Amino acid sequence: MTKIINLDDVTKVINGSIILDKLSFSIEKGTFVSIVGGNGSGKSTLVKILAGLYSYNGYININGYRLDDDNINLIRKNVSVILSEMDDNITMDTVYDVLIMELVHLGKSDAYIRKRVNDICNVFGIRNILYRDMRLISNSERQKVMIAASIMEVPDILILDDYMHQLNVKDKKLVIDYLNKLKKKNNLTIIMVTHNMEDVMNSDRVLVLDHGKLVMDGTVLQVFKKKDELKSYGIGISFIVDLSLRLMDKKKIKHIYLDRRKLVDVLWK
Amino acid sequence: MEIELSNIYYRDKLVDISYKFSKWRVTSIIGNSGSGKSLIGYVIMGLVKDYEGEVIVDGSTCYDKYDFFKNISYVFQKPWDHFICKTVYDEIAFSLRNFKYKEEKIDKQVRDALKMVGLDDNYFTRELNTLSSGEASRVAIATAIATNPKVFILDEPTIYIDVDMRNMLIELIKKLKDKYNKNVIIMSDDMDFVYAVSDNYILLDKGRIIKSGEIDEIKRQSDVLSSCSIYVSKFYDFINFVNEYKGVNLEDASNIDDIVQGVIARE
Repeated sequence: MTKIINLDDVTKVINGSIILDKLSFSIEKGTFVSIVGGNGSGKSTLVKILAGLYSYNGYININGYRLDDDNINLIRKNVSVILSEMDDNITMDTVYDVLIMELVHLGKSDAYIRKRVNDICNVFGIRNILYRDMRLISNSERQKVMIAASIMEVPDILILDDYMHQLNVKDKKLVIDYLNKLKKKNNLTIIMVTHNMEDVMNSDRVLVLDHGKLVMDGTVLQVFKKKDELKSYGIGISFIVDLSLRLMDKKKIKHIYLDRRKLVDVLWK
Repeated sequence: MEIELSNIYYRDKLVDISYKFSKWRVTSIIGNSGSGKSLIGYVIMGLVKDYEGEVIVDGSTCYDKYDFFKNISYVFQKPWDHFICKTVYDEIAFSLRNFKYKEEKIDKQVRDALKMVGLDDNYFTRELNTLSSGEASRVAIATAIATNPKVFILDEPTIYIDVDMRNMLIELIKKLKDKYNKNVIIMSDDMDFVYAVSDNYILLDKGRIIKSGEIDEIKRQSDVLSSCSIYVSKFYDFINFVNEYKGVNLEDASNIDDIVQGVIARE
């Protein structure tokens, strides 16, 4: 698979303290990557560097372009970033304005915009709030609208900085299912920064940061298996994996179960 | 200080909210986003004006506002919403200086507050905009503790914090209640956290109180929480699932090790 993001020896120092320490990794196109880490591990700084908001030392390549001031506008065309502080900076009034902003900016035709808004409304179920004020809808609806707006023109890379924590049960399932669909259909690369271990279960690959260093890298199972190491970085694991591991310690089951129905079937025959 | 809400209506967001927050208890307001959790806090703090109904403090609707605000601390959902000063020290000392305390007393209280949230003296001169979100949450909680109020209101305190700080916050809230006899009101839909700290709960959906009472009542009722679109605790959800699916009763279990023990004991 082609590598869409490439980091080599990326270092970031803010006010004398090292936030990112010689970070090197690459991300393949069409994967769902979770980045986790304790508070102060450098997650948000990394996202802001990838969004071109911070300078850095080292080498970053996104989509074939070196990430620097000359290329940033080219890169941004195909990268959508939602920062966790975004809620405070919504400039448009209504949900409709937020949704069409990017398409208008790109000079798309009215018919195309109408079609896209219609599609997105069907997928996300936001037709009833389409003309409501962004400030008067609930937090869950606002996060849903912001995520919808970021994929109006499907990007190559979608970066979410801790931006799912206010979605309610129903909305989160809807958003994650749709993002997974885009991943398959449009080869969308998703990078999700989070500290909710249940959300991490949806991803293909997990990167663990600690004090600016990449300390773990692997699939959900490979990373979650090392429970004690994760704990030392201030990270927990999801309930079902935790229970499986404890039962494996007592020799009750042979491997980790991600589906609780299967686990219960094995335990209580 | 005892706070009571009596028939509060706010536009169509809050409908007939009546509740008495009992003394020396941790009360959690549970509800999904948009259910009006934060609004109840805003009503208590007077941050929204045009509500109907009464906020009753110590049995009186005509209470001393100055005294009231001196004895209540509100921690916003986003720690950055608090910050007005440049450095951590100034920020925590801000309200103490407003209350015209002596500088020596302020210094002591700032140090104590920072210590309680697990930050050392090196943070005194740190600028607020260089803090990570976890550190910012800690500083926000420290500002609330510093004034030594009788009531704390914490709005979604677990959103930006990791496991270590979450455990610290649980200990801190227990300490505030048991050792310092404070009232704590928490708005949250993080059920594992709510179960760990609360005594009482109010379940809110679309601005109405659906249920309220002792926290133990709601633990086994995953279906009620699900019907209000709240993320149920994975632990209690599992116990209920086993019960429904296999008819196995694990109701005595109070943590994950109890489930493992239950499986072993069966053989």
